[in-house]
Amino acid sequence: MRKESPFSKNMTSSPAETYIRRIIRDWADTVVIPMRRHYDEDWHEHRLIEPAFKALMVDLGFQKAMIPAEFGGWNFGNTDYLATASAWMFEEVARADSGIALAFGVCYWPMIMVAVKPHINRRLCAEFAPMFVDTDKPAYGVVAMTEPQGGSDIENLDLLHGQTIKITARLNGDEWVINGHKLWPTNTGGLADLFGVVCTTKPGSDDDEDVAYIYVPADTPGVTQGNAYEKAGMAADKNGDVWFEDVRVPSWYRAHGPGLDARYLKEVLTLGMMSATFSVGPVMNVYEILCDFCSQKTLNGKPLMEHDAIAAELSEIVTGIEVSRAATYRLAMMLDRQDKYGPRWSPEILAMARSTKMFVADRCLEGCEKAMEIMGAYGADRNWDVEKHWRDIKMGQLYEGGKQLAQMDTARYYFDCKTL
Amino acid sequence: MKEGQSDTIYSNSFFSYPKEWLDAESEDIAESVRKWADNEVIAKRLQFREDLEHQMKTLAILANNIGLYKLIWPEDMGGVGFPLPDVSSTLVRAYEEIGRADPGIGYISAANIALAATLLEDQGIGGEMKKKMAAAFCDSEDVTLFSLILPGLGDINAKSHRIVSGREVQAELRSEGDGWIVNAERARPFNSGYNASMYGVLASLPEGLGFAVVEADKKGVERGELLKTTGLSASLNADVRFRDVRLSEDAVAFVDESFYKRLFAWIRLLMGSVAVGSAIDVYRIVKDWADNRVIKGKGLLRDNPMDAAVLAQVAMDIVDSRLLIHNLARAMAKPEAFGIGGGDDIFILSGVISVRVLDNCMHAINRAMEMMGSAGYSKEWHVEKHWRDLKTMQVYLGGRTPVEMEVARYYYGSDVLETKEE
Repeated sequence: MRKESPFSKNMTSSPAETYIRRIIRDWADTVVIPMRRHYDEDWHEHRLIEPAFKALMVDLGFQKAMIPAEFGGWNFGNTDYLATASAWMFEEVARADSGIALAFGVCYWPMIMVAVKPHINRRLCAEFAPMFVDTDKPAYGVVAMTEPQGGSDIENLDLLHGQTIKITARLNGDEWVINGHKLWPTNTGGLADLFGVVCTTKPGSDDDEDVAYIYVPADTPGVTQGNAYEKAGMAADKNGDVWFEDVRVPSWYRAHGPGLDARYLKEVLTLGMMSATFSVGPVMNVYEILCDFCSQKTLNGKPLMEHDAIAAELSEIVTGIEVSRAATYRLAMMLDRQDKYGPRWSPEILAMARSTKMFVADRCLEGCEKAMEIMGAYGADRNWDVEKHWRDIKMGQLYEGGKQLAQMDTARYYFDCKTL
Repeated sequence: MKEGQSDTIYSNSFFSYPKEWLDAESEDIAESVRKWADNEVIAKRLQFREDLEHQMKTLAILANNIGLYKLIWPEDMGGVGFPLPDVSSTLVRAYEEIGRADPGIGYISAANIALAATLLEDQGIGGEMKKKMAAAFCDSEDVTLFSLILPGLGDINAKSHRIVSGREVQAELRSEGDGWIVNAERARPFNSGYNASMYGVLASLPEGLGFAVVEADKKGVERGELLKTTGLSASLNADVRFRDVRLSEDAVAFVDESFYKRLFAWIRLLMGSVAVGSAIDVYRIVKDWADNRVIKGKGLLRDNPMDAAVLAQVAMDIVDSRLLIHNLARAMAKPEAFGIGGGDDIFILSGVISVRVLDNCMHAINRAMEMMGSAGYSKEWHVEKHWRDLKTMQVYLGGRTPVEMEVARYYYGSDVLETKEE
């Protein structure tokens, strides 16, 4: 007999996981799932999405999770459990809405540079932690990376070493002066509170020393956020253009300095691959929906789940879920145990992270596609929520440099390619 | 680069198709539809997006000004008189162009043309019903929108009905006096259930099957809430109830399973054509992207071997699909060689080809999206609309498994999908 949650527990499960999952699931089942089929129309206003996000981030306190304890946070970033804990939190949130999970994850993203051991920058934590812990509103963090024309070139750090970065940071006295244009960062379109801006201190340079990661509060003069783009899904994830015109911030807002910024930016990218969970969570929910649908609807006079050919397809879906979860939690364990697997910024870990995220997104997308086909016309019906998950997972497959960059990062490590 | 590419890139022949199967008049029709697609829809995409009023206005131009809705009706019924089934290749060319513009418009009009072709070809359907339908297609200044209610998935909690090829009929007819009564509980239409002016309903009779034409304003017709769907925004759908809807005698025709098979063969042909057109438009968009975007700070995307391989897959999927769908059209046009409409030969062939073509076109669009990254899912670039539309079409066609069962029954004699009494 099927259990309520039949999927295997991850190998590093803990009592905290059970407790936190239960809190998030309660929020998901009561706040998000009853409303999520109206989110598409809320992409611009966020009248429905914002209260749900606030309930998670502020009322339940999840925006404190990564901040070190000494600055009022839950200290996840200062443990050997950051990636694993992120995995189960993100998976549960994404089960309800992958867009909210992405916005949630990205709120942490810029602070990874300075709030995660062993490279905690206490001065910057003290400066920005209150934005996350002493507040009654969600704090939207942003990593501003992609630029016009460049596509995913900036993420291709191991080959290009920042050579294509156009946004400039010039030191003027004790201030950085930032100029340039970014596209597509999550949590923009007017939402952003804090940017981590990937810049170059020497345009055209392919030296990691010239890659700078500089914090810019969104209310700094010269920062302009454009309107949110309209997309195929993920309404909770607002993206837009961001312009920086003679934006001045203190020189100590640079995360770590020459060389180290590029190194830890790779870690930011690698931890970003925990976005595999943004695909796993939704397809786990698709499984729940299929349990209902396939016991109600019939083909050839039999419930769908009792039809041998449909059962074969259902089997493929759950196999994809189990294998995807195993791969995702294995990646999380590798990211957490740097003593065993090496630093998160190493090409080996990046390749493992890229290939895992690519594999998981592909399998979860296939699972959703199979589910939609099984459901026939109902598969395209917003009321069943499967098509929403399908749209969201597809987007998850494409962001963070997309599939091709993932292939190149993976091949580069495993085959020692020199020019990809 | 293909020789002369810059001149032919937007022509209809860039991806090869068998031209000898189309005469000059058919090419003229396709060219008119092509101009409609470019001028009325593609050029105005950013202005109108998925605005229903604009979609209906452009459909009316297609149906009435270009005359697509009159094409297959005999001249004595007010039509143009293109003969069936020879017209299949002409329709494929027209629907490729419509699919290029808006698969949603293609979907609802293809459902209507498929219904018209099926009625005209079915010798068992009386002249009165055909004349009534001809008037709706040929004499209207607006577009008379038919919603099809066809067999689909059953529901364990609802009354079971007759099963046709594994799918459950969604409505039932009974005679009363000199007319008919039709009933249906929460039927899920194939298209346009929310705003159709007429319903074309395949229903069970106490003995056999009937096809009923039901006016939407009849007493007892109840439409549910507008369904929000992934794509095909031109098809406003809603579940439909018929509560003892009274129909005249000539509103119902006795049909058999061949009616369903014939109708589905036409639907699959035309939807496959729409899918090919949709993928061709995505090709145009991704080509523009690859021609103008730089990778690694220097070369164009199209010149990077990895991206070139992705682009090649997009083109290969389109080449395959276009040849397949034109072959299906030719097979349907030559019943003496390939089997009669309504028979298993064409029904199965249409199932095989439509599944392949939809899979190929979805694959092409998915690959294009992967190359475009975030722009692939941005509404501004329009690829995501083609992607949503074709996926919706794919699932509304019933998905893969029912077709696999039909194929297994045909090729292996598998006892997997019977036609059963209720």
